[in-house]
Amino acid sequence: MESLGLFQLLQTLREELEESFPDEYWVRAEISELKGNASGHRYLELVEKDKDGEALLARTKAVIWAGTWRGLSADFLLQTGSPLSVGQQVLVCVQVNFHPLYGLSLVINDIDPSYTLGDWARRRQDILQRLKAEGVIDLNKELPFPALPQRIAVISSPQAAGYEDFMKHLSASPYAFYTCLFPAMVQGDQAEPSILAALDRIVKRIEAFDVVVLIRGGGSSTDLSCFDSYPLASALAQFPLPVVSGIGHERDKSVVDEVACVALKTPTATADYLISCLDARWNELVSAAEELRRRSLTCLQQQHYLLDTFHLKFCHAWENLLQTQRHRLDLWERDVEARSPREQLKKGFSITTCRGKLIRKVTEVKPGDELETRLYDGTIVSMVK
Amino acid sequence: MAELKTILDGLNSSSPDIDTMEKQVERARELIQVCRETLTKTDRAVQAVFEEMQPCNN
Repeated sequence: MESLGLFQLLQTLREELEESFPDEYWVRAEISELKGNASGHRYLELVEKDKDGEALLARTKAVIWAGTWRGLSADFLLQTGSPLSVGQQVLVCVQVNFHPLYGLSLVINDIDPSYTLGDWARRRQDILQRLKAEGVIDLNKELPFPALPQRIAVISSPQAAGYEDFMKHLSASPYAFYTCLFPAMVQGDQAEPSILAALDRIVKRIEAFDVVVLIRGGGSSTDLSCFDSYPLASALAQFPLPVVSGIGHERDKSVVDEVACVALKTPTATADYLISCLDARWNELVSAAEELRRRSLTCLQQQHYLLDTFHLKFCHAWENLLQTQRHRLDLWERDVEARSPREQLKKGFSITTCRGKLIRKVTEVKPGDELETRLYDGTIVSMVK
Repeated sequence: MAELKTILDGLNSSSPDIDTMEKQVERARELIQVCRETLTKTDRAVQAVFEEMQPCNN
């Protein structure tokens, strides 16, 4: 039986492959592994999954030579804001390579960053659609924002410069803020589980807080892909406290920004926003105090005016009463004086009595009666003839 | 005042006893004097109250 050496077989395969695939090809795939070595080459594993993203349809090794990597990785980072990393969908320009010792491998000569950006956009869109379909996308936005957002649960990396900026800004304001840091990774693969865990810890003390602030430290990385996460966006959207995001973005908003109650660009802007809420309340208080002062003054003036009026009325009433009473006394005095018998006698009138009885008519006496006539200065006794 | 009124009413219905009438007139004079003094005192008291109220006014 005729037989071939393994090398001969594989060498033939190599020649066939190189003949069948002489050019470069643009291939869509997902990076499932990415390793480097001391010489600067990058070794990758590329896969393609089925529509649901679960079952593997294809898998192969790939390599980016050090010389290519330097230019490619910098360009990719510049255009996408993220380093080339595991989990990304990429469009790569490859050459098919087969080596009898190392097997099949794709040599990557170029990468199209716009494909990865497009994939992110699609993924973001898918997540947003799903949140919308589930009716949760606007839940956090619909929460009433607290009038005084002073008790703040902060999700951030404790070392992040952004966190420091946020705290400095708050403490420079004239208001008292109570902040509690719930440390979490805010970039990279671990961001999603660690932020979810922080949310769980906040829920246990939910009564102690008014708002949740999710801030990302400053720094060089502008990778926001960890915020385009369905589990994270879903948890934030349904979180019982309003979420304020200040995760910073140079490109479009992340999904987290889309579901947050308030989305701001930076940790500093987030602090400014919270301070502005208190400024607004403070101004309301100042105007209310002014209004209260104004109305009290008006009211006092009205009451003073009323009192003055009453005072005047009372004075007049009293004067009238006094006059009436004095007048009445005058009249009575006159009356009394008019009736004083002595006064009558003084004027020349006299009073005649007969046996002690007052005589008013001539017919009341008869001749021989003794009359007593009283005058001012004495009494005359006389006899009727 | 009531006593004064009674005396005045009494004086209006003529009484033969001049001395009694004269006494009543005297009493009426006294009462009128008392009433005048009472009025004056009350007026002073009321004016004092008005004075106290004065600081409330603007």
